[in-house]
Amino acid sequence: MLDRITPPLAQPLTTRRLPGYTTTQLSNGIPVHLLQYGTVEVAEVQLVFKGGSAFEDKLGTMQFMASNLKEGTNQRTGQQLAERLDDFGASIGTDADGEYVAVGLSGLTRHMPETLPLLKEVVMTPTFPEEDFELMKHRTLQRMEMMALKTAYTARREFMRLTYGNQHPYGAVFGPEEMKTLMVEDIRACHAEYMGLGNCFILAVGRFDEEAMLQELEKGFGTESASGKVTANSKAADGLIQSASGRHYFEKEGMQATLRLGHLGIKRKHPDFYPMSVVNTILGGYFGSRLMKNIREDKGLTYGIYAIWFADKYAGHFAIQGDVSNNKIELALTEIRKEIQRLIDEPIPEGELALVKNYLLGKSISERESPFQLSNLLRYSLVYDISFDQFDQKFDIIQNLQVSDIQRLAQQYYRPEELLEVICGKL
Amino acid sequence: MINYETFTLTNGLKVIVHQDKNIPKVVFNILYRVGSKDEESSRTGFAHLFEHLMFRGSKNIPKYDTPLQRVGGQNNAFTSADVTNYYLNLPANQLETAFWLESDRMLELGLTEEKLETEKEVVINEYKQRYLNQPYGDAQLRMREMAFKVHPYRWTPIGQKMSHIAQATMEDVKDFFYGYYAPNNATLVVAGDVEMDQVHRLTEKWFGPIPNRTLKKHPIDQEPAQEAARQDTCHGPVPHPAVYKMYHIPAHTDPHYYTFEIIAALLASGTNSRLYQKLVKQQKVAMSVSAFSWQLHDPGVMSIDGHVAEGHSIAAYETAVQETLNELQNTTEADLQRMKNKLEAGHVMEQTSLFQKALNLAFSDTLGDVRLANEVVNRFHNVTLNQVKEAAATYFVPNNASTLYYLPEQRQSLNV
Repeated sequence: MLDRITPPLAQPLTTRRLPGYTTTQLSNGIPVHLLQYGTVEVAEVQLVFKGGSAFEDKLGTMQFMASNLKEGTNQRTGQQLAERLDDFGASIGTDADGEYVAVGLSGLTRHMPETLPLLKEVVMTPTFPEEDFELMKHRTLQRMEMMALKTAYTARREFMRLTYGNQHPYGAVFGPEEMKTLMVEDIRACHAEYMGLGNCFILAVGRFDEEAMLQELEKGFGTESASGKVTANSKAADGLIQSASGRHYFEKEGMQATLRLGHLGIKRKHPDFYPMSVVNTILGGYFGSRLMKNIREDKGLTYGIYAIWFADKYAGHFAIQGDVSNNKIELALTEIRKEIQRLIDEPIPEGELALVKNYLLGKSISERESPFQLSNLLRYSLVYDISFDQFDQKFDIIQNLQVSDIQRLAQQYYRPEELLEVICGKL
Repeated sequence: MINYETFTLTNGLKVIVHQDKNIPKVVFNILYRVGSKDEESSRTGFAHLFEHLMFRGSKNIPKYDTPLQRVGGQNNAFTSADVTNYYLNLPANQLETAFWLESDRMLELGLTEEKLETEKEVVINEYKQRYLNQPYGDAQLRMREMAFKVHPYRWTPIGQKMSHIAQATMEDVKDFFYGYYAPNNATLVVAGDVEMDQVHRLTEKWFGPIPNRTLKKHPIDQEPAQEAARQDTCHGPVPHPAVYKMYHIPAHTDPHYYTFEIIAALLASGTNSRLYQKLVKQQKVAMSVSAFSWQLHDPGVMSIDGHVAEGHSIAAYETAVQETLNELQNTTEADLQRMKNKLEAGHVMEQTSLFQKALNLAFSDTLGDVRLANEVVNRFHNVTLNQVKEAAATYFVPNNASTLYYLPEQRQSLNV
């Protein structure tokens, strides 16, 4: 008779180390990082520039500079560019985050020779047509009107503003006011200042012939002038943080209210980043978390509730968020606080810790599946100045955590008396 | 090309194995051929509620998630009109845990009244959060009701009414389970760092002892051809008018189906697409526009949705949509080839994800032939220019269209 009660013997969790990448440079000195990954013949090439929202004078400049890159180049209109990319089933994506601006080309490896010149055009000779910029601005404003109706949107914005204050770039969330004042001249100037090839590094990840890839990159970018290195520092490095606490209500019509609770945390390079991520996972970082068990499974108050332990380059924060019925706000808040306090007051059962460790390790294996995931991991490590090995070392750091560590970390980093409570809904 | 092998247990469970040793991981995907189209009209939302209940413990395993997370696994599920799909990601050397968990919940559920009541609350919260508490959130519910008058596609998987979910009883739950959750109504895909004989042995061991069951399957009323244009207007707390147009198209199993995927790509995939260029960029009558097939198994729908730009009339928006549809007659061989290349590249890119591959295999099997998973690209390539033009001329006509106007509360008429 088959024993269906005893779980199959659990095997020790193992992982394969991340493959190494090679670093070289083009003849004009642009650093190039090549990483072979996966079996499918696809590739992603990214140009990553020092810049991003933590460098801007006017909020949204970097983001709109990046998203307008594809609206046209000296050689073709935005539509012609899109058509040419479609011919090869390739795509160019742009991304402006706090500390970088990235422009990436992804597609079939065999079409890289035809599509890399398009990436070059987009980065080096965008025309930023005023008409297209104005249209994007207009559409963004219209979309924001819709977003403003959502409780989650307002709650997030207010939470960030109250957590970091008005003086720090991390506290500023782009909104309609900022959109209205942004002009096409701003993004043209931003491009001139930040998008010089001397201000970027290149990474290529996927399945390709390294020689051939390097040749293509050299042909496209190696013969250009590598000038325009940005020497300015991120404004987040020494920005003043002013953090609020206590309860803040924002009235909005709707069937449910969004709750967002939290306070400041630690920056990404802090040695307690990974350990604290484990503590936070226990609280609200996965489907079986304490918050989910209590507030969703036992009480049915919400469809989902999560805790985030977010760490940026120069600061980080802790946040809990969930949507609950307007008449269940107080109950949910009480239970959330109870769960935080329980981690501070009581040691975690061995079994629960073992489970969370394994859950995180298993999840990490999934996070390194496709070349596109690896491409972003590599970019992250280079921008945040974290060794690529750290994504492997993380496995040991997590494995070595003890019950006593969890309680000590919870006591050190969760500060219930300082909690900011943002509540957006119909009260 | 996705390599795979298949076998079937004597109880009817169909198994597909795909080997990929790129990373030490497996995807365990089990698809049940039951969706919201199998529900009774007085009990809608049941397949989806049931999906939630499947995570509330089974006969021998009180907690589903805990043992899976303990071995580093993650899981989730979704319910569509046609199928309910459960998938697990886990480290390759923990594969047996997936077999243990999934076979036990196929064997028998471990439900209590209390669990049922809480889960109903969770689903009602989901209903509110995703459909009622979002601007335009209930448009999907209304669209279904407009496009389908007879076929059970007329309600969405979340359910037609919240009250249907609140009314579900233990008896309904048991009835549903034994009627649809059976080895002979499921397809299992195991993909990743696995060996064929290992999967074979584990499947026999864990699923072999489960008896096949008499399925509750009943014939589904098919939708008669639409004979006249349909229009409806609703109001809600939204900032701008939105227009949703639905056109009936052939079933996913119809060879002509792929013509419509190409048309959807021509119309609205990316910034080079026709609707985007004409409505958003040139005429500026739309703030956004999209077109896609609902990917239903039975004859389905392609919808064209857009938000009307401030200062422009709904009439101007609609005229532009119709012109764009008419202009499909100007499609060139180069346009067609471009879309084929784009769809093919997209298909190749998808293969970097184990889950996507597993899902493609499971879906293809459910559509009637697992080989379809590797045939899709050919099906795209076989579409001819004439087929595109003919399909456009035949299907995108007023009599085959339903239009839903979603207006801000203060705006009472369609005229500006």
